[in-house]
Amino acid sequence: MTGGRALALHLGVAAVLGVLQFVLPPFHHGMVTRILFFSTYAMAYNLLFGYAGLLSLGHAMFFAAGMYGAGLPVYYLGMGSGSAFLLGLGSGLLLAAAVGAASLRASGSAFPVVTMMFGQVSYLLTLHFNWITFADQGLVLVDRLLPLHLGPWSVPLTDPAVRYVLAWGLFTVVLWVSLWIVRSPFGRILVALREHEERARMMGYDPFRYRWVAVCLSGGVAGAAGAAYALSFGYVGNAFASILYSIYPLLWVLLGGAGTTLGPLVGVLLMTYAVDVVSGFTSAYLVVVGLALVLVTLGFPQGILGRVRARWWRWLP
Amino acid sequence: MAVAAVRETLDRTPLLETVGLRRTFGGLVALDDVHLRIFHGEIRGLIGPNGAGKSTLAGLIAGRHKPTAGRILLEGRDITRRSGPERVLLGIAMAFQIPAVFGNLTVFENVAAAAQRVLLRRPLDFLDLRARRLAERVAEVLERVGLQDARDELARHLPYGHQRLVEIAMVLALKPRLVILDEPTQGLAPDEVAQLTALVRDLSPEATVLLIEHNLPVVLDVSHRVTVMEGGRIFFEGTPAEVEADPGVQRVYLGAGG
Repeated sequence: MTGGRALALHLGVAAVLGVLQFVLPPFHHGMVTRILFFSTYAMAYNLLFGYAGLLSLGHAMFFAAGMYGAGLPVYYLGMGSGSAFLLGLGSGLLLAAAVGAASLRASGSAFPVVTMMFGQVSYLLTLHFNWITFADQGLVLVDRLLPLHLGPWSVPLTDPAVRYVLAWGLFTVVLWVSLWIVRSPFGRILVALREHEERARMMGYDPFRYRWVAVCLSGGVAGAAGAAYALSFGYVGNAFASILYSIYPLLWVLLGGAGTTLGPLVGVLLMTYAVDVVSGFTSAYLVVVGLALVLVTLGFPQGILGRVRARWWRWLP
Repeated sequence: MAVAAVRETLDRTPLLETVGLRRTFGGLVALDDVHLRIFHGEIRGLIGPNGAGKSTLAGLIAGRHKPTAGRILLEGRDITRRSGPERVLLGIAMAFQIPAVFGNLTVFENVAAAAQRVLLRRPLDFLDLRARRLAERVAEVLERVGLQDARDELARHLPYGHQRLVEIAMVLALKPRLVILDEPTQGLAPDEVAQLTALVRDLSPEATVLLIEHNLPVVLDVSHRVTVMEGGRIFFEGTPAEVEADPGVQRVYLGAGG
């Protein structure tokens, strides 16, 4: 059964990533931690871009909403990390609900432009409220962050081993959620709207309603990724609200394969290591990475896993 | 005969009624003062030269466009303000003139997207639907249109005629009470036309059909009654025999070049 194969693959990937933490040398341990956080963010993006077919150019605002939503209460109010995480997730979700309602009302092709506009407004707000956010200097949470109390244990979130477990746990949960969603009737509706909006509409699916739910989901997950990142690295900075972090998820997803559940991981993995290798040779590493990306997307317009699915594994979700 | 059965229902509430329907595009009047009554279980042919307003009328009934004036009633209930998606849930479904399928999805997924619509009742259904029931329903519809062997093909890889059948399967999967088919035989090979004609005939009396068609022999063969439009207005209505015999209809058709 095809569902079984897909399930086994995803279980295997999650298991391998879980085991890696015990064998990786410190440098790569840190790299993979980051990769897992960003893959979670990329999966949020992929849900909207890959499955619902909506190109957002302002997704950094949701990631940053999660960061600030979690980080500010910790910094100023000494809030516990569990509640701070939920607050971060909620911030991403709420912002997405508002931005989604506004940008989906705009007709068709305006969505990327309107999301970019909101993304820039969000970035400018972090500058404007410099006295709260300390803008690009950022807020260091490390000495204000209380350890997470789990029964008799108290867990310091910024410990590298704990950080990896957090990143892996969130990644696995979101991987499962997205696998579930894309195989659900709701996922089928999103894809139908992507493929032929009018046909799907005249099949009884109101495009606005389902796309809005997709934006909310994507914003919520992006917020969760941002919150977890802020809490486990103990740092909140407005670089994560900048346009670069709206473009990154698009590149990751394009590279790995839009509309494949594991594409985001593949994209983040390759690009993070590519940046690392190239930046060893030149400071203009973004130029090199950009060129490589152009070549890859010309060669594999469906991304790596999209190509794999078209050629070999038709069952890949 | 089916015609007699249809006659019998004439004095009852029609399934669908349009009252003084009008639609303009800019300065162009595409449809003007259209009063149409379609009865339960009938197959209604809708013919007329290009630009007569047939597709506009179909689009207004299905809810793709809003009328400029007039009302649309479904079993006496005013649905003029209902959106297209809402009308699908009320039982009106339409196959487009240019086949519209989800190209990157398999035939199964195409039809499943429609079939699940009628199974989605509670919010949780959107996350988890009994896969078996959905698959059975899809298989049933695919069998009906003769596409059971193409189940796992990508829709965009299918020949044109089969894409048309996929769309008709999608429409049937919605379990509509009123099926609107906009030129379903256009671009089909003769044997495919015959298959489609048989399929349409089979829809009644379970469903009611509004069939827009250029292929006159097909319409006259399969319809219980035929409505003739010209210049945005209804010009004649009668049985296929009456339509064939009417000199006015002849003139409209000959005047339009065939």
